[in-house]
Amino acid sequence: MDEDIVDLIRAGRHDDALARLVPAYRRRLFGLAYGILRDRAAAEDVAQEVFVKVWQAMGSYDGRARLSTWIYAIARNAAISALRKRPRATSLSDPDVSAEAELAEASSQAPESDDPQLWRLVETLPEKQRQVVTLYYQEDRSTEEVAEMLGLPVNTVKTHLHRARARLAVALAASEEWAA
Amino acid sequence: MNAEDTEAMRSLDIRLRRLHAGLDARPGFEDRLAARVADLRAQRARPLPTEAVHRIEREYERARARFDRDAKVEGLLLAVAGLGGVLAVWQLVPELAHLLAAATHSTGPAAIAFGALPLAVALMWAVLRRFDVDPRALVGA
Repeated sequence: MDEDIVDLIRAGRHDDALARLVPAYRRRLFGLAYGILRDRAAAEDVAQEVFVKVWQAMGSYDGRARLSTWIYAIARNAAISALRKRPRATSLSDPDVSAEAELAEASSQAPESDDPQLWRLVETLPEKQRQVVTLYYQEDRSTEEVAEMLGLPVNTVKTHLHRARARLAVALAASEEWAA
Repeated sequence: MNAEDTEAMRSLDIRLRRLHAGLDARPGFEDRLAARVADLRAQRARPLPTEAVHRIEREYERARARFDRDAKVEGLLLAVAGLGGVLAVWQLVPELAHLLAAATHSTGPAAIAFGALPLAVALMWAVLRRFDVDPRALVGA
């Protein structure tokens, strides 16, 4: 698939390449941006911006890096840049209050989910663990693919995933015990 | 890890998969992107407004006139300085001839040439560089 797109780019058929690229990468880029931004509208903006940047930069793509690696690098930079530009809604000194406010903000942006309890627990995971969980479970990706998307070593991704699952399992068990 | 834990993990995986299954851009993403790209393409293809073209032409003409004027002033200054130098040397010709004769007598003509030649080359080099001429190009180096 990527090879066909690279051929189109090399042939200067950038519009055709973009037409093939969008369905292939839309969910991946949205997931990657969402993992970083935790905001659907912002993630969609970033995904659009990344496609535009890729389309504009196709002339300079020399094929030295894999197409996916190149696109993911652009996407990570765009998402991090959007995150930096985003004004902080809360500037609370009390960490508990601040964490609660962040959780409330995240819950308000959660996708329509029939498992809000698990969603809230995912939101409390450390940043990298949360990103790995999002990308891993979004489309049943391999740890290798998640590693490429996040620009991390595969073993680091495996460690984040293992810790996140263990943490979620303990938290779920505790909340179910408390509910019972 | 016991069977209960494994079962709990499997259940967690299923719930996480279900939780993230719907994570995607809103419908119409492709259409919105196509509109954005079309807009950018139109911006690129749009010619510059006539007023902008005239402004750029005026700025270009002004810059060219300024460079021409600066070049004329520099040329005039160089000519005056050169003439002054020639007149000064002309005034000093007897003294210089006397000095040259004395130096030739004491050190020999070869030593004078040995000292004067690099000086002449350096002077020539500086003058040529001043007029953006590469002396190496003249000698084919």
